[in-house]
Amino acid sequence: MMETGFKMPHEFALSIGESFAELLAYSADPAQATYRSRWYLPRKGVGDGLKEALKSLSIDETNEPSIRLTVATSAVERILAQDQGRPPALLVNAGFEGSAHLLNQFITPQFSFRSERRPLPIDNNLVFGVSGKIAPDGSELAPLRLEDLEQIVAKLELVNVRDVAIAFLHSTANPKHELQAAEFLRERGLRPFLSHAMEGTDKKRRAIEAAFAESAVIEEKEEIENALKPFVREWRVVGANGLKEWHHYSAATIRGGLNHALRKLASLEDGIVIHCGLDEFEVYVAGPERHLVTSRIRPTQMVVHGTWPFPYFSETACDYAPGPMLFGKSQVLAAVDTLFVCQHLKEIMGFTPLINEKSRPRILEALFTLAKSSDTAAKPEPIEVAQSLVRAFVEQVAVKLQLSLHEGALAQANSEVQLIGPLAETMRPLLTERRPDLKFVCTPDASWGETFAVAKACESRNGKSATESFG
Amino acid sequence: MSVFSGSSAVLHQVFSDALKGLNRGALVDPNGNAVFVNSHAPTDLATLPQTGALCHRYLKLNDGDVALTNDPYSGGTSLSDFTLVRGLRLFKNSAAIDYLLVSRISHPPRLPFHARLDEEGVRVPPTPLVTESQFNRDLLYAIAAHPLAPRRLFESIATELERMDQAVKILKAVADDPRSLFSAAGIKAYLDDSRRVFETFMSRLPLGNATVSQQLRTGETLKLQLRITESQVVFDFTGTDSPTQFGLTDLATFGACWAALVGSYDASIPANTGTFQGVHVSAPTKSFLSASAPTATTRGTSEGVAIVGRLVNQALARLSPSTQLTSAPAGDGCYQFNFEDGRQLTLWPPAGQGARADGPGTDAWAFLQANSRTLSPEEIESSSGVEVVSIDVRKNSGGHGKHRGGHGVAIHLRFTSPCSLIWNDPSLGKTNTGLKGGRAGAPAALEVFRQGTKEREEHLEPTGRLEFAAGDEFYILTGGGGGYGEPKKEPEDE
Repeated sequence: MMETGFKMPHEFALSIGESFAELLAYSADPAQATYRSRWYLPRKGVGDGLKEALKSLSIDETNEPSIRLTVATSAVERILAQDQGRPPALLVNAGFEGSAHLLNQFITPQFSFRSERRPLPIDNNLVFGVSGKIAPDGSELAPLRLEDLEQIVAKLELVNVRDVAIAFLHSTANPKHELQAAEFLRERGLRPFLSHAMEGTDKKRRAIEAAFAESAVIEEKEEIENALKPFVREWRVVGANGLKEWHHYSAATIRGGLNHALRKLASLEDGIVIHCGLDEFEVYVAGPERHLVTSRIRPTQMVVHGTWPFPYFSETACDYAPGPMLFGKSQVLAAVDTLFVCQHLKEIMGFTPLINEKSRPRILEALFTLAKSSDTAAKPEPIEVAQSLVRAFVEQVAVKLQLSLHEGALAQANSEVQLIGPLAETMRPLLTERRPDLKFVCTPDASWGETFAVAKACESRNGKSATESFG
Repeated sequence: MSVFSGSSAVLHQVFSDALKGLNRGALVDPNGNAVFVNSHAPTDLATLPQTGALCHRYLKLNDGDVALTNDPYSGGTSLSDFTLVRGLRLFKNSAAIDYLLVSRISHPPRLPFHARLDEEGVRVPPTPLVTESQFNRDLLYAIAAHPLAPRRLFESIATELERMDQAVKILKAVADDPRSLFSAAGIKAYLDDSRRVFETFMSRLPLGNATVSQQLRTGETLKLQLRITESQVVFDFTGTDSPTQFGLTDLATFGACWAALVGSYDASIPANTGTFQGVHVSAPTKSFLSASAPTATTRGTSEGVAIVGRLVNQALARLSPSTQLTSAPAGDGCYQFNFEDGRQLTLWPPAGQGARADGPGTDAWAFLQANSRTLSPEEIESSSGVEVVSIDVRKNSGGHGKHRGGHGVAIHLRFTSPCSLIWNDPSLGKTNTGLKGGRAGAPAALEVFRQGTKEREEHLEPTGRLEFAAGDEFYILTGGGGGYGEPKKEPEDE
């Protein structure tokens, strides 16, 4: 699905979500885009979507390379959620080969006798201990034994594994051993992921997840390059910490990039910004230190009869492939299905055409089954169940919004709350009804908020290019 | 805002988010009715609300006032657990406080265990700590300076007060929304829905009676008659002996029973007054499950909870065999290392879970405290004079069977400075038998290699004391759980 204009664009902003990709092509201002497109990745890959854009814009190999490309992607999140990566090797200190597994938190209910730990995407046969030790104060207790690494590399060649997570003890105090091992592995054509260099608190898990996702991330990167190589003069990717040069395009860097871009966009606005994405919702708070209040709710959150005596959203979300029931192929009822049957879902470019109207009775049937199983005296009608779920969905966003108001924007409680993202128009009347004291605003381009964010990822508040984060 | 089907789930999420910064926290009404309890410790389930109610009854807390106590006989658990209770006025039209926020801070227990409460630590009855925004630092310094007070008590309480501030900020923000679900009607619906959750859970339980008993190695007899009817689950401990070695308060016993009940069925049930109402615990006065001053409680709140929990599981298994766990280490051992420079390290190494009738046991699993007993080598090394040489699953320690018992862990430590160790581990040397032909799990053991020698010292005593010099090496090998069912073939070494 696309819209075309006339002017030859020089900027491509590409955001790749978990199931949909968006492209804006513009010359100076993304609001004046000459081309915009949103497409469904299970049906059309990133590369095909880009080629279609080039064709629509009549850009061919006679053109000089003139495009500046900026990409933000949720590839790592998608690969982890859909288990599309490849178990990497894991290097730990000798003696701790089993401890990564033991450190994982249990994810089963509190007090459960059927406890399960949160799994790590590793193959236990590819966990290797390496001699050498750093002390908590960063001093070296024993040097890294490179001979151990020689043997490991030989084994990895046999099983054709290239991605290696390195998670040595106390590497944040002194990364020397991780860096030494990484250099050794790189020289032998392997791709190391160092725990000390990862974002967040659970750095070891992050390194393992990045290594797990890397091969699929590289495939996506090459797909983009193959589609655009003759036409792009400058390649950039948004990482968790800001804009990066293209060679940083790796699972270790790009995770959280889309989130960074949205945060950046929000920093250019006043008041509160709520991102209503197809994958997830977040609320960005105004104030000197802009921060993010992530909503737990996702449009693909599954509806189940779980703990409560009524149907409610499960902890897990489904994918858009085969998708929620409204696409007509799946049996999995999700939050977005309830928005659909309650007639709240507004037109969304690239999304609405996927909706199968015949799914409506099937969704109501699924709601009827859930309603029957409710532990309530009065069995609600299916549409009442859907309405309650929509209220719960909106309420979850409203709670996060309320927290945001208290976090730093209380003085602006009567000011506008800006909604962006594909579901912005859907959420505006619902949130207005819930919070009549606030004014919810969607700009004409609100639906393209994610890609706008990517486009603006390099701008500072005064409109200048924020090159300080480059590289 | 009117409540709707689904509002309770939203409210539950609000409480989870608000209290997630507190390891052991509860939101309680001024009468002690639990609205939301979030704790990894079963003993907290009923004691946190009771501590809140008693502090308010004695001290008449206003908004922002904070009381401090660690008294097991004022709703607490053991003297190493300090509880803070803060008054909360959340709604603009309220004349007094609406709720109490309760938070409990764990400190390492004083080992070896003692028989009398006054030997276990400093006892602080409900005491005003913050009044009209004035933090009584001098009082807290005085308590913290007591020779039996836990180390770094002042700092831990000051940090917890900040965490409570954060929770209060969230609760007040949500309550400030004029259409918030966090209202009297919203809370009533939440507790009603919780009660229905529990009723649905009960409808799955087998009806009937079961009687089990156990002779403890400390000499006491523990008896339990379980009665499950359509409307309630009764745990009747009539016939249980008086305390000789340790005690649990009746409320701590209630928590152990409730947690073992829902844990046996893997149920996800909110912990609050709505779900507590269907469970009744009857423990004879002056038995060690309804202890009174001056009985010590530290050992009861660790070892005793596991014993009660296992007995509850055994009784449930009489009525529904699929819930049965095979034998596993009796209770998690506690190891306390005191270094010459004043540092202290306390470890609770998890053991292997006994296999279940319907599946294998979990490796390195702390009974009813799964998420609170993880072992981080970096944290251990950073906080003490010890090098962790290795931590791994103790291979082949789980008993073989149709379903394998969970493996224990093997921890290898090397001391970098002298220290003394005191331990209490009732699982040492104890074989964890299998069931229905399942093989026994390996017993727990301690091994010492003194520097410069190759001789191995083995220790299987449940309590003891050892001195270590720099360079000595120490192994803690926790037990494996028993297997369940006849194995298809005999085990091969993994």
